[in-house]
Amino acid sequence: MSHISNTINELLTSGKITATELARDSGLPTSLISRIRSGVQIWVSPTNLNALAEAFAKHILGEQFQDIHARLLCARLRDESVGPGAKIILIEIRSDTAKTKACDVNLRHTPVLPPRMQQNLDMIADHGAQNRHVRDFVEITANLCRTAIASQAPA
Amino acid sequence: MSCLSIVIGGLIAKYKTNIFDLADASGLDDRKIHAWRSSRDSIITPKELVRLARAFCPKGQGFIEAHAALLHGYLSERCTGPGAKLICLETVPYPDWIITTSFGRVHITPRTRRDLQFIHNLIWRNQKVCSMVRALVKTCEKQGIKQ
Repeated sequence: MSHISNTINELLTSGKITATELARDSGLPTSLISRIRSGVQIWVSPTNLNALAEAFAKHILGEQFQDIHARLLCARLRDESVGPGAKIILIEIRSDTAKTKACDVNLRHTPVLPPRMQQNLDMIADHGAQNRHVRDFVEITANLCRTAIASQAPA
Repeated sequence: MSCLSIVIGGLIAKYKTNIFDLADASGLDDRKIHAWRSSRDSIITPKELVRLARAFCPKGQGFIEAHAALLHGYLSERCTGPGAKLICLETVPYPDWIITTSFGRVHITPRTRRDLQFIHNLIWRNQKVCSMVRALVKTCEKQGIKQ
C-alpha cells in the first residue's frame, strides 16, 4: 500500500462515501481510483489531485479544500520520496493552529518515566526504526492525543 | 529557474565539477543533465537521481546528503497547488536522526521522534495511552516484528 492509497481510504471513511461516489464527483474513472487505492498506481497528476480534493471537500464537513489537497499532496510527495537520501527528508503538513501550539506548549517538560514504561518506549523506538507499521501506529496514537488535547484547549 | 536546476548548480559549485564530468561519472546523457541544469526539463526518475548523486560523490562520502539535496529539489518542484503552502518540506541533518535508547543507537525519523516525545510526555498521566503503548510492545514482541 502507498501513502496516497492510505490517505484516500482515510478520507473515504471520514467523508462516509464510496469509491464510486468519489469517481462520480471527481469525474475520474473508477478504474483509476481503484488502482490508486490498491497501491498499483502511485503517481497522481496535479489535475487529478485537485479533482479528488474537490470531491472530498464536498463531503467532509469541517475540512477545507486546501487542507484536503495538502493531505493528498503530502501523501503523494512521501510516495515519491525514495532512495538513500529520502530518509533525511521530512515531509509533513504544517500545524500552525493556536490549539496545536497550546497543547505542545503544555507538554514541553519531559517527565522521567518509571523504568518499565521507559523500556516500552525504547522498544517502540527500536522497532519503529525498522518497521513502517510501528511508525504509523506511533503517529496515529500521537495524532489522536493531539486531537483530544486540542478539543479540550480553549479556542 | 527550477528548484532542481538550482540544486544541481549548487552541487556543481560545491564539488567543483562540470556537466561533462558528471555525464561521464554517472553514465547519463550530458544533454539531459544540461536540460535539468538549465530548467528546460524537470522530469527525472529515481534511478537517475541516484546516479547523479553518486556522480557528485564517487567516493561515497556525502552521497546521502547529495541525493537528499537533489530529491529535495525534485520534490519542491512537484509541491504545487492550493495545499502546497501547508506542506513543510525540509532536509534534517543526519545526526538529528539518531537517538540513544536502552537498546542502543537507533536511526529514526524526526517525525516519529517528535511523536514518541509527545507520547512520552503523556504516558505517565493517561492510562489509555499507557495501555496502547503496552499493547504495541506486546504485538512487537509476539510478532517479532523487528526480526
